[in-house]
Amino acid sequence: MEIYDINQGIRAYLIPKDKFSVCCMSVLVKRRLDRGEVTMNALLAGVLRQGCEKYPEITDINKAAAELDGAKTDIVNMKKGGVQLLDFYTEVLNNNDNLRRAVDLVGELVLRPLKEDGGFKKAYVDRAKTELRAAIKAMKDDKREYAKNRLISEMFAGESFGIYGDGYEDDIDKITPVKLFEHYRRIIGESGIDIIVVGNFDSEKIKEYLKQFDIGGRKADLKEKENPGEGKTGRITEDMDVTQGKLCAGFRCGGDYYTLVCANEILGRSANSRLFTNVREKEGLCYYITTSALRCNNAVLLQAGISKDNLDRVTELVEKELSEFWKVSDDEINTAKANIIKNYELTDDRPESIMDLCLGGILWGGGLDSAEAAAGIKAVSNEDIRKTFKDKKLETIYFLREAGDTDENS
Amino acid sequence: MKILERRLKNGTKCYIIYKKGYVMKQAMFSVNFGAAEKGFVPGLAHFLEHKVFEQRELNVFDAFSSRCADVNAFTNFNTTAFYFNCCDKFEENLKTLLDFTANPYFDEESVEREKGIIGEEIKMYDDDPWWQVYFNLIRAMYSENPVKNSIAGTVEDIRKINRDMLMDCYHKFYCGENSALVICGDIEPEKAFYLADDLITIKQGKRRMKTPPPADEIDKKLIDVNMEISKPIFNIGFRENDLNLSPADRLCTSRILLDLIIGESTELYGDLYSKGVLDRDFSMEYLLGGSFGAAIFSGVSDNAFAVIDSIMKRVNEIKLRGINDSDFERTVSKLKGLFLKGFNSIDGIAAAQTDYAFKDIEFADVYNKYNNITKDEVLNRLSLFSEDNYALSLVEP
Repeated sequence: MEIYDINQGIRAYLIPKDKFSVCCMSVLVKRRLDRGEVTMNALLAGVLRQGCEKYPEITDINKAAAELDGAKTDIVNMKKGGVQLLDFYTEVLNNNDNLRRAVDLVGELVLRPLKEDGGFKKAYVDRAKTELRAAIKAMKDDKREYAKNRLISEMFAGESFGIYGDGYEDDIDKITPVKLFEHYRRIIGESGIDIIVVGNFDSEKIKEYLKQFDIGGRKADLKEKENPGEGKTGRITEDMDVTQGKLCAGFRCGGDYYTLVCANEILGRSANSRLFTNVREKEGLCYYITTSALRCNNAVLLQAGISKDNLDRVTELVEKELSEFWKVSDDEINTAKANIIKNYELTDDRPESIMDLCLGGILWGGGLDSAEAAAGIKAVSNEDIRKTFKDKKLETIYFLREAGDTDENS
Repeated sequence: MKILERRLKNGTKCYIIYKKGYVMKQAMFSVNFGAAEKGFVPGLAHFLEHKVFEQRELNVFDAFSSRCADVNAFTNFNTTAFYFNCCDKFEENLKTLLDFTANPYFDEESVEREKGIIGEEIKMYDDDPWWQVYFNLIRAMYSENPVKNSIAGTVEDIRKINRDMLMDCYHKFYCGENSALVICGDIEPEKAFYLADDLITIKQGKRRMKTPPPADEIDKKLIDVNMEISKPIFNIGFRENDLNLSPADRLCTSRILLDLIIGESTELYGDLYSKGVLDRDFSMEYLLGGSFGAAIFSGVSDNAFAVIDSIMKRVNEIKLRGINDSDFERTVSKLKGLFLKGFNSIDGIAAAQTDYAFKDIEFADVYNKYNNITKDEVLNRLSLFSEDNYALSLVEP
């Protein structure tokens, strides 16, 4: 990996991998998630992708990409922990002159947006507003994801991480094309920008292509708001017309991230984890039960699809696993570590996973690539892993409860 | 990329796809037995997939995990597939894969327990509107073809399943000629072939006869259900009417045609997008089955009927005016590019090769087709789009 600064606060991470025929690039404009601007940033992705000066219609952009042997370009609003990112993305087969032209296409989208009457084109802003409203409403459509988002917003209320990444419906109306354009100019001028390039490319050539992103130095400060204490604890239940209840619960762990990753692997990530074995295989209480370790704040999230009659039993079983976690054997730990390292190594086979791992390292420190992450895992002591869940309980439990009678009142 | 294709000693079709420099090594063992089967309880193939993991002594998940390998399986219309991926100890993992799929062992009690787990899996899909809208479309498009069976069956269906039914199916379909093994990764192909040939233990047995597709018609023009979602979603399907074309021809010509009709570079898409009739979740695919096929459009819209009207109008316009050369060439190079990009993923390659194995297509057929496809071949496929040949599936709030 080669890291170099295009200018102060604009940094490129070049990760050449010749085994791919494609090259992927993300230009990431970073903002701290903030209630005051989250909705505008989300809206920006929807406006910018509809047209720019050179390609004024969405179909012009799509045609330009299609001409590069089916390149993909998109602008995506992303939430990563307490950070919001505008991701200008392209993926292109590195044939002929495709790569240069794809980078230029992204350059057009980032640097020369379509302007009308001192703002963005009104029709595009209106269209993007409709789309964003729909996206915010659609958060409820994927019940499993909805349960997760709801838990995060409750448990991490008052922190950047607790803010919804798509923004808030109430904030949409007051955004005007002119205000939004000014906001874009401001964030493009002052935000930290990271450019990650992965895949089949020539480093010297790509540096040449990336020169267009030298748009002035900036002091990129990305301190997240951390204010634990405002978040809710205990059980939160919401009723919905679903067939299966969706459980999402969490607790904070703190400590070292890689230690948590190891403990989490054994607790609930793998297909022979404690929870999978005991809750699914032994008791047949669910089809999926899984936990994840959050790199942004070292918390653990649990997700399971269960019937409401089993909520108490599942909670009890999870907490039993937490309280008995100190008994985990060296063999189990060593297997888990080897599995995690393997999974890190596997990220090297997928450009998007390489980018994601790199981005995690940029935002929260620790390894930028699979080798650094693997070294992090190797350095963890088995003793520390056993202590990870000492005195831990499910802090906040969100349950999306299915319709119908429970056993108790039937 | 190199592909070696040969039969193993027991008749299993074996493909070894060499990908230099990749970390992941994957092997996928599959049988030509899926959900689209006439004369069985719906969900039987999928249920069997779950039970094949159970062994007399071995815990399959632990065995793979102890070697840092992940194991998984899936069932679709025509196939049940079991696969693992690993970085090293490929040989031992391959042995376990080929052993466990050849030696399932389970009792009636474990079949009963599995009903609870699969019941929860079915309920999970019941809550997935995109899953529902898709499988309702398939149900609507066919009156007879068993492709209309749902993959996992219903909770009522699986209640009827017992150990004998599962074992009968196992013995009938899990055998050499009816199976395929795909190996993909940075592995020397000849060596991998001899290894597989040495390790394969599943019994020999004939490939099942291909039955001609039943005489079929659109079962329902519309299936409309309500779920707790924010905006209506739709799937529109135009049913294949020319199963005489080779699978690669069907696939390539229809993909190109779909993109020319309403792909994201077309005026029609731009128009529907700006009016808010379609949004960015719009997509299309050609569903390629051995005894069925369909062009499927999928998206979010308050007015799916307007989408159908627009498609039909555009089809008539192409019939009248043809396709201009630059649009045609751009579309061909785009789809060829997308096809080539697929070879960047081991998972993608193994799944595609497995799918192709039972449909008698080679990757080279698809690539060659994109290289020599003509405008007339694509225009001939406009006959897919007729008024009496489509069905609509809606999920509405």
